[in-house]
Amino acid sequence: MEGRPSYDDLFDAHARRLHRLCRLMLSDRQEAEEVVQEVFLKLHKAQDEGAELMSWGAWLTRVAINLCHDRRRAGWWPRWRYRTDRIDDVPLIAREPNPEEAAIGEETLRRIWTAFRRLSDRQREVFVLRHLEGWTTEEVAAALGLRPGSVKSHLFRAVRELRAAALRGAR
Amino acid sequence: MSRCLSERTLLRLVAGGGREGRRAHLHACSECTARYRAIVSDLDRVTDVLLNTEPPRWAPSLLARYWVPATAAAVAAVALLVWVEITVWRAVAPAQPEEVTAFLSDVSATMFSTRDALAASDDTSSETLAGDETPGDCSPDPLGILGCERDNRNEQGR
Repeated sequence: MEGRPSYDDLFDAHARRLHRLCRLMLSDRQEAEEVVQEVFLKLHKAQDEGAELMSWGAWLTRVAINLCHDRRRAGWWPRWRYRTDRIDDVPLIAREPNPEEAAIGEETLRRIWTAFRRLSDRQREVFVLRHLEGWTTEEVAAALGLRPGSVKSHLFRAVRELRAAALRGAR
Repeated sequence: MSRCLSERTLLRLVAGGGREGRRAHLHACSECTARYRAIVSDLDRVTDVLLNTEPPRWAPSLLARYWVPATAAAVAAVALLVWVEITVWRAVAPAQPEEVTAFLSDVSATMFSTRDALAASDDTSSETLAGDETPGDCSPDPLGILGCERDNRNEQGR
């Protein structure tokens, strides 16, 4: 079909974004990679079955979010492993800092990442979808099965924490 | 002009919440608008960090990683040991009173039956002796302490 994007096109357009999204939601690089692989496996199946969608990007994002939910519900061990990462397990960043990192400073970076990590799962999801993916409140509510009021409430708390972290770093 | 909005209210407005009246004030008040933009700018910075930087290396939580599982394992081992001890203790526990009573009665029966057997064998031997030396109604005293009943009756007659 002519109007439908190919699998390769969708992969090129969304794989990187989805990986980043899953990594932010799961805080685990390896798990994020597994989820992205699973997302594109579902894409392959959906295209084989002849599914026609208005927005494949939004569909991919929803599938990724659902899979992240499933992963989080999967068990305590991944969380335990994530919370107790040893230095050897964390990939070393042997590179020059990029312009953002250089401008912001190591301490501020650490504060922001720590604050983000301390958010609840729901707050993190809402913030990522609303601010990083640019979804509307209604879209986030529909994707997460929440009321718009709940989305705003979670977002308020996330914004408060993250802003405080950014502000402490700036002062 | 009403009072300026609090920081909390501004954050609510950034998050898409807040009342219409507050939003109207935000549009009308330049000071609040500036503060609102500062918050948005801070959040843009946060977004940039999350999108464009790598998470820092976390300090290792050796305490959580090793000591907590070790403590849990030790507690489990102690619990297992206690359970085994209790199980073994029950297996070799002293017998019940009924069993003790039955055992004692067995022992008692055995002892008495031995005594009876001894007595029977003694009767046989004394009868043999009486037949040889003192025929008549002599007492069956195996030790000869009581003497012969016939002799005793003779002594009483005197």
